Formats: sequence, structure tokens, C-alpha cells
Amino acid sequence: MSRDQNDLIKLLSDYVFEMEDEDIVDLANEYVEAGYDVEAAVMDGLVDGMSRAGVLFAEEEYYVTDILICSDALNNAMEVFKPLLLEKGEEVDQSPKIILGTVEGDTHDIGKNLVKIMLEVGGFKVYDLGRDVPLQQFIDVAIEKEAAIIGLSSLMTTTMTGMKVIIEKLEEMNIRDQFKVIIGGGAVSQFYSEQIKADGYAEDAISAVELAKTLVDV
Amino acid sequence: MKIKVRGFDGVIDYHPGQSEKTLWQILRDNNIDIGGSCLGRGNCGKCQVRVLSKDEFPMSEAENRILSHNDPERQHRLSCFIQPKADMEISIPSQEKNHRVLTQGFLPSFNYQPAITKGLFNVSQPTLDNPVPYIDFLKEALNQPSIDLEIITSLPIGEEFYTAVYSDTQLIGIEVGDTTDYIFGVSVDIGTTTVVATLIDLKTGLQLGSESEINGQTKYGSDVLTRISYVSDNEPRALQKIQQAINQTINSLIKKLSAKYEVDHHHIYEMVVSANTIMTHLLLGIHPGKLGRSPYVPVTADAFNIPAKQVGLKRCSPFARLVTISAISAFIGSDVVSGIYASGIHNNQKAALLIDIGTNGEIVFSNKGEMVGCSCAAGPALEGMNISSGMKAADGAVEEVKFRPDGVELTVIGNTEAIGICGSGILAAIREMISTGLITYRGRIIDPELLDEDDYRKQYLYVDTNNKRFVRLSDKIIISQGDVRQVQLAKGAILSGITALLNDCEFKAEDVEEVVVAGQFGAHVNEESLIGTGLLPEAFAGKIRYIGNSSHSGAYMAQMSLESRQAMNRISNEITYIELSILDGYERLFAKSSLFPRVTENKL
Repeated sequence: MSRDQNDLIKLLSDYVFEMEDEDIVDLANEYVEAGYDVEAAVMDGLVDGMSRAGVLFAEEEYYVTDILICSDALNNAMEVFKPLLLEKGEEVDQSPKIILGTVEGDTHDIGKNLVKIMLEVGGFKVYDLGRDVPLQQFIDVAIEKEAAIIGLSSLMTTTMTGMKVIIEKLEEMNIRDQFKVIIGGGAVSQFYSEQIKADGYAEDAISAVELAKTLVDV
Repeated sequence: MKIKVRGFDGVIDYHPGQSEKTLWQILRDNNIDIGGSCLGRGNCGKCQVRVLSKDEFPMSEAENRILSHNDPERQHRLSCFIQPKADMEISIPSQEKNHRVLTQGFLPSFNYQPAITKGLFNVSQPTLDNPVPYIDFLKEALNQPSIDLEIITSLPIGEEFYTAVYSDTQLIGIEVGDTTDYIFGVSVDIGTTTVVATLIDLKTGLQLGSESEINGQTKYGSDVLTRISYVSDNEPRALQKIQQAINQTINSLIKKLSAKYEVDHHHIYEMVVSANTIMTHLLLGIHPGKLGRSPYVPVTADAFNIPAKQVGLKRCSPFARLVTISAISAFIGSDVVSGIYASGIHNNQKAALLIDIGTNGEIVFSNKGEMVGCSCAAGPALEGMNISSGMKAADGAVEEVKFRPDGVELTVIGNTEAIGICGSGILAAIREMISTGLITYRGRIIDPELLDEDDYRKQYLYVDTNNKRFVRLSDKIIISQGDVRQVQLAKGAILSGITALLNDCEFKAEDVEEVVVAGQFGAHVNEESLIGTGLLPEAFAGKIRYIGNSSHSGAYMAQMSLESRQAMNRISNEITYIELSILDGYERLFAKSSLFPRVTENKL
């Protein structure tokens, strides 16, 4: 006799929240074998657990490194659930789109990867271009996907000038007001964001989601 | 308008002109070292000043946010946010007295065979019977097919005795008379922050003495990346300016040394430099732009032996040589190569690990001479930067901490009143916080409400009006949650570097036989702190030895022994560099390495 669906969903949330990145795989398999609805497991289980972690992060109880392991737990469970999820067609998916990446010349992406997860948990569709992304590529993909926001990350002062270049290119192409540009990463600051006339700066993954939500509601 | 800086003579005369400057820029322009690792970008919070005249400068949200981390008691302003509008007076709180610099390192024994030697020659004179050109007699005496025009034009002709100066077998110069008693060289360890120079009598190998100075490039940025940005963002003269800055520092050090030890600087024939790769590029005038971007590769990692004046070093013989040692990668320079050579891990038969702890930690693992290395960005926490009450290891810095039931015991450098805490101090404090349970293994400061009234640990905890928790060491010295996280990041970086390197060689920490710790920070901190905070694996206990400023030792050995110089240049070819950020699973390794050791007896 398999365990109750709601009990399992609560456990999935707990395992993400408590960083049980290894044991969660068995749990996810148990859920699937019982034949329960996978979408509920993702939304009320995994995403719920990540949100709880996000709250603790905002309260300084959890740190970046803790959130990383929570996200490992979430990803490991998603590996089990993904094949069973019905893919929403891109035209049907109404979630606001955001292009994300670490700017050209920079290969640091731990923080950016966390932002991606929190944005997905927060209801955004994220196109993660990865790291060392050529500046023009951010613009090209943003246009192609009709994104609402372009999110730029950089950890080094030597590469952050790429952010300014992207904003300048958008202006030259007369499409600056088509996108909101937000920045983050160890090298940059609120001050820099104002200097390069970006639309916002976020200090960490949680504030990034809050910032993104504010910008799409406008 | 006039700007007075307390403690500095005179006033600064500032005229806004075309564009208004920030106070930070004005201070820098007037050569006042205001600090600030982010070069005035409004990011680091370390350019603090106290406004002594009327402070009517509006505080922006951005400045407010940074000050809340860096100056919780709000006694200061950030000079990069202030634009002077009228006469003003300020003071700069970061006056550091008596900064302790490590000049010496462990030196293994080796054979003296310096590159620079001299020979005395008795030269025949032309006569009416034998009207041979003067230089031909010189060539004959010295057994040289030709003599450079530059030497010919600078040499008094027709003397009886000349002294030839050689670098290995190459004739580099000629002096008139017998100067064979005077052969001197200078070994230079160029650190990002501090430069140490040692005057050496090359005839005997005796180190006459050392001097140190803050690297003149710090006004262009306190870390290597900021200096790279400075050069890239300020073409075309920036490279020249930043090269001149280090030359000035070296020339100044040589001036001090030659005066103190009564050596004529014209008798200094060789400078041997050991430094990180970016410092070496800037000294040689090579544009460092590429090193600050992926794939993070140096323009060159070769060793150089060139005329010192080619890069602008003047306080030496006009034909003195500048010698640099080869590097391993963009972030592992000749300073580490020197360290490897001085430690001997390349040719002892043990499984040994060398760690050079600083803002960047470099780690080299040698398994019976087969070597791999990596570089990890530990961040400046271990040097007291980015820490609320942090400061450099100077008088007034707490360097050891013990939490006792009846109060905290602080050991302060210089035995004066504690005004801040340095890298070794913050590590010691964290060690104590872990063992007493004041922080959890995940790095969270515990909630004082959960402790019994009579629990002695309650006296160390403090919660402010924003519900933020602190550990308090004294009225002036507090440790915030953010400070703990900075140390966690540093510890995570170094431990994950060690683990990744060992994993790559399929080695376990237990099987490492020797751990060699080099660098400024490593010498002031003890094993208890390194292991107690989990910066080094527990399996390293009892296997650690310190070699101090090994970059300096290496430079000295390269100067006194051609064999050592060649061996060092070979070593850099033999090390495989591993880029941590592209390793599979590195993120998770880093996250797990950031956790502190779990205390078996859980106090809560």
C-alpha cells in the first residue's frame, strides 16, 4: 500500500528545504510509482520547499551555500519528474520571459545559477545563456524570445563593463525601452546600476525575484 | 575650495572645473592613500572618511546600504559618494601604524653560484711603437671580440686597470679601476599590497637587510583585477603610469637600503623579482587585459633577463639586469614557484601539499615530484578586509581570541588597546564560536533567546534593533553574521581547492604526508585555528610546517645560484594547472566545503 499523496508531497517539500539532495531521488521515484499527479509534486512539493528555503535565506538563516544544496535536491527530483511533465508549448506559456547569463569574459556562475532557480520557482520562464556569453547574444535572444527582462551577471570588475555596452547597443538599435535590464554579481552595485542606467540591481537571488516581479508588473 | 585632511601637511586646493570630482578622486589625485578596493565605484565601503566640518552631504540609498554593513555605528561617510561643494575638513580613520610585514622565509641550504661576477684586468697602453687603438687592448685583455658603443662612450679611456662585470658568461659592463670588492644585488618580492626588497652582498651571499613598502600601485586598486581594469579602461597612458608606480616603489626601497647599509647603488648589478603573474606583467610593461577575462591565460609565463633600465629601474648600475622567474598560470606566479622551490616539495619523495594563503589561495600538490596546482579566490577576509571590525595585522589588531566563562581573552598585536581584528584574529574568533556553539555548523549565529539565563555564552551575543545577531568581543569589536559568511566563503574556496586537487590525483587527505603553509597570513595563524575552522582538513593535523615568506626566499636563491634559477624555471613547466570552475560538481563541492566542522557535543 503506497503512502498518501499529500504526505509524500509534504515530504518532497521538506527534503528540498532540508537539503536532502540524495534521499529525495528515492522519494520522487516512490511518488511516480504510486501513479500520483506529477505537476502537483513539482508545484506543492519541490517549489514549495524552495520557497521556504528562500524565506530563511532572507532571514539570514540560510546562506547561498545552503540554497545551492537545496537547489541540488530540487534538480535531482526534477530529473525523475521531467519526462512525465506535459511540456507547455512556448506560445501557450504565459509566464514572463527573462534572458539570463554571465557576461562575456566571465565564467563565474554559481550566483547566476541560483538566480535562475529562484526565478523559475517565482513563475518566470528563464532562458539561461550560460557563462562567457557574447554581449550581442543577450540582445539577439531577447528579441527572438520577446523577453521582458535581460538579467546580467558579473563577478569581476574586468568584465562588468560589458553590461554598459549592452545597454548602449540597445539604445543604438532604438529598442532600449523594449526590455528591462537588471544586473547582479560581486563586481557591481546599486551605484553602478544607476551609472549605466540599468533598470535595477539585486544583491542576491531572492531580491532578484522581487525586482523582476516589480518590473513586469509595471 | 580648500580641503584639509587631518594628519597631512597643507591643504588641498580643488577647483571643480569641467566636471565635479568625488572626494575619493580628489584624495587619490593628491596621492593620499584613501583605500577602497573597488576604485571609487561605490561597491566596497572601504574608503571611509570622517567629515569634521559640517556634513551637509545627502546620503543616497546606495551609500546607506553599504554603510549598514561596513560601519554599523555610522561614524563615517564614503568618500566616493561625496562631491565637495565648499571648504571642508576630514580625517581618514584607516591610519595604520606599524604594519607588520613578513620579510623572511625558511631557506634550505644550497650552493652559491650567483649570476653576477667580476674580473680585474690589467690593460696595456698604446705607445708610439705600438699605436693600437685603446679598445683593442681592452678587447684583448677581456677576450671579447667586440665592445658595445654604449660602454665605449661611458668609459674613461687609457687607464691601467678595468673591472669587467658579467651576468653568467655575458659581459654586461666595464668599470674603471678595481671595483671587484663591490658586487651587490637586490631580491624583490612584489606583493599586490606590499613590496619587500633585500640587499645582498653577492660575493658572500650575506643578506645585509630588508625594507618593505606599500606597493605604489595600490592607488590604482588594491587587488589585481581592479588594476587590470584600470589599465584596460584608461588607455593609452595607464599602463605606463602603473608601471612607473611599481618602479618608484622599487627605486625608493633601493634608495633606503643603499643609504642604510652604505652601499653605492651603482654597485647594484642585478634585481631578481618574485611576484604573482599580474604584478610581473605590469613590471615588464606587458598589457594585462587578457588575464582578467576567460580563459584567464597570461600573455607570457616566460622568465626574463633584461637591462633594468628598459623598464625604468634607475637606482642601480646603468648596466644592471632585471631578472624575473617564470610563472605557472595567470593566477599562479613566480612567487609560488619560489615557494615550491624553497619548500623542496618538488624533489622530496613525499606526497606534499603547499598552500600560499592570501587574498588568492594557491595550492600545489606534489606526489613524488609530479605536481598539479590551482588558484582559489579566498577573498580578503583572511587579511581583515570586508570584515566589520577588520584591519590589517598592525598594532591594535586582535590576533587571538579565547571565550571563557568569565569573559573574553584577547591577544592584541603591540599589546595596546584593541581597535580592530585582523585575519588571524577573525579565524581564531570563528574557531571559538564553533567550539562553544555560538554558531551552528551551517554558520548561523544562534538565537540568544534559546539560551538559559545563566549560560555564560549569553554575554557574547547581541541582537540589534533590526533583529540582526552579532557576537561581541568588546565595545569596539563585533562580529556580524556577514563577517561569518565572509570567512565561510574563504574557507569554502580553500578547502574545495584542496579537495578538488586531491580528487584529481585520486588522493585522500589522510594520505598527504606533509602540508607546507606559505605566505604572510599563514605565518601569523596557528594550526588550531586552521583546523578548528575546517579551513584545512582534520587529517592535516600534526603535518603542517610554515615557511613564511617563501617568495622572498626563492628570489634570494635565484639570485645566489644559477642552478636554482634554472631549476625554478623548469619547475613551472612541470606543473599542470587545473581550472577549478570548470570541474564537474565543483559548485556542490564548494557549497559543502563552506560548512564548518560539526562539534560532537552539541550545546543546544
